[in-house]
Amino acid sequence: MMEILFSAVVVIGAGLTLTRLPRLTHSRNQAIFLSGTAACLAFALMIPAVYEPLDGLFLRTNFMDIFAKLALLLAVNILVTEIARTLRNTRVQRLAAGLSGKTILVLTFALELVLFAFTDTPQPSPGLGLYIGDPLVLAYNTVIVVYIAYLGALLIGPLLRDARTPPQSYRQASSALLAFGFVLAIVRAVIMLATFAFPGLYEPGQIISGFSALFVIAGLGSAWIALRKYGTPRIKQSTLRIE
Amino acid sequence: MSITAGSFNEWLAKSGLPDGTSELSRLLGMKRTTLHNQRMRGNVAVPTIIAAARAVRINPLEALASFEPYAALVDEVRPVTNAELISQVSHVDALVHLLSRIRADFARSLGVVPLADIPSDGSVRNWIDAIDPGELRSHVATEGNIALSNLSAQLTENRLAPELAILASRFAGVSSTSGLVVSGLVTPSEAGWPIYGRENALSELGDLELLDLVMLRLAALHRQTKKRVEAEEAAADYLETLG
Repeated sequence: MMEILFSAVVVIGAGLTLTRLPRLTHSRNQAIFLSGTAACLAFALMIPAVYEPLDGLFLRTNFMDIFAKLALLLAVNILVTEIARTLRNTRVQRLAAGLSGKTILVLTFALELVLFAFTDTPQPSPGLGLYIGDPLVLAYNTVIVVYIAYLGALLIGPLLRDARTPPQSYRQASSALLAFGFVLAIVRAVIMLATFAFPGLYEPGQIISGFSALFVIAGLGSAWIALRKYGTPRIKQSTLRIE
Repeated sequence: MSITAGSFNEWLAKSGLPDGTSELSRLLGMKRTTLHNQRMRGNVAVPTIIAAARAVRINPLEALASFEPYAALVDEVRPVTNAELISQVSHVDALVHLLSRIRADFARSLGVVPLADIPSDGSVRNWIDAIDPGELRSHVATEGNIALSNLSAQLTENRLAPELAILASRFAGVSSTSGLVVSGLVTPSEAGWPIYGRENALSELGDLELLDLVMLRLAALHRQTKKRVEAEEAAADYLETLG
């Protein structure tokens, strides 16, 4: 189930990321393209058929997972920063990409490296899923999930406000879908914390991660449709016009 | 101040209107479900009474006064004041008048342009500002059992609940029907406003008063346009970045 879901995230995410290619030549969508590429890479590395051959390139087993985590951190950080910028929310921008945001990002990744250094995982396993019963491995996975939930929580309020702002219904849908994706990211973090007490929750939590990603992708897809539907008109009518 | 379904039914019988919801909704030009829901809830909306009165060619204000909560409505009718008439002059009307006053050739080119219908943008807020003897908003909010923020929201949406409009009129000592006119519930002629009342009031303004009016209207237009432009720019930025 997880493999199918993550494969779907990779395929749909890659499709959406490719739609950003034409506008790259006009210096547009670079950040979203980068975020999409990093997210696809991170989810692809959750699929054993992709993960295991690549992990074989390293001396330390499961070292590839560090790259997956880094890709995910960057993907979410870039995406949240871009959304905050478009919503003109300087507080979220600061907390995601300002000095405090960068410090939290670096500390999160440093903590990941430290926790990984102490893990003992002789068999290659995406997300170290085989060893999830080990509290150290679980903590290693929890750190990143909590970081994503933190970033998501910053955006939910502004996105819901935007979702209630007419008149562009596709843009409103985009904000609503993104907000729901981030709500699922928080649910996923709560489940991850509960996994310390109930290890059986790991798999359902991963499925929620997949759905969270799908909702975020759907939100960006809706924004892509909205741009085509409401894009810049050739003749701009004055805002003062009342007829 | 709600009108009960029972008193509405009695009034229908007295006025010779059909009692059946389907027939009545066709006659009033309103959705059957809307009328059905109002009657089922036992709370008939003022616009329904007004539509019904118009259907049988009864003055809506007289019809409304036949219901207990609005019984005093007709007794409190006073001639509309000049300040109220001027409050219903839009920025376009004020500008046209100013240009016509400045140059005779402009006056000839612009011809006799009819004034904008009531309500126009900002009608309710302008009326409240025009009649306010001080503390009007807080009085209406307190007496009308409504939060000041909700009252402000109504003014922003250019509407005012009939009971609040009547409260405002009473407090300001103006005709009880004026608020119903500026919120678009009844027409100026139904409320007994003089024909060409606004045109005459505008012509009687001194040059400085006219300039003050234009500046006031342009300041409001500037605020409104700034909000619209910023919202449009934010929406375009959202789509350009995420779409």
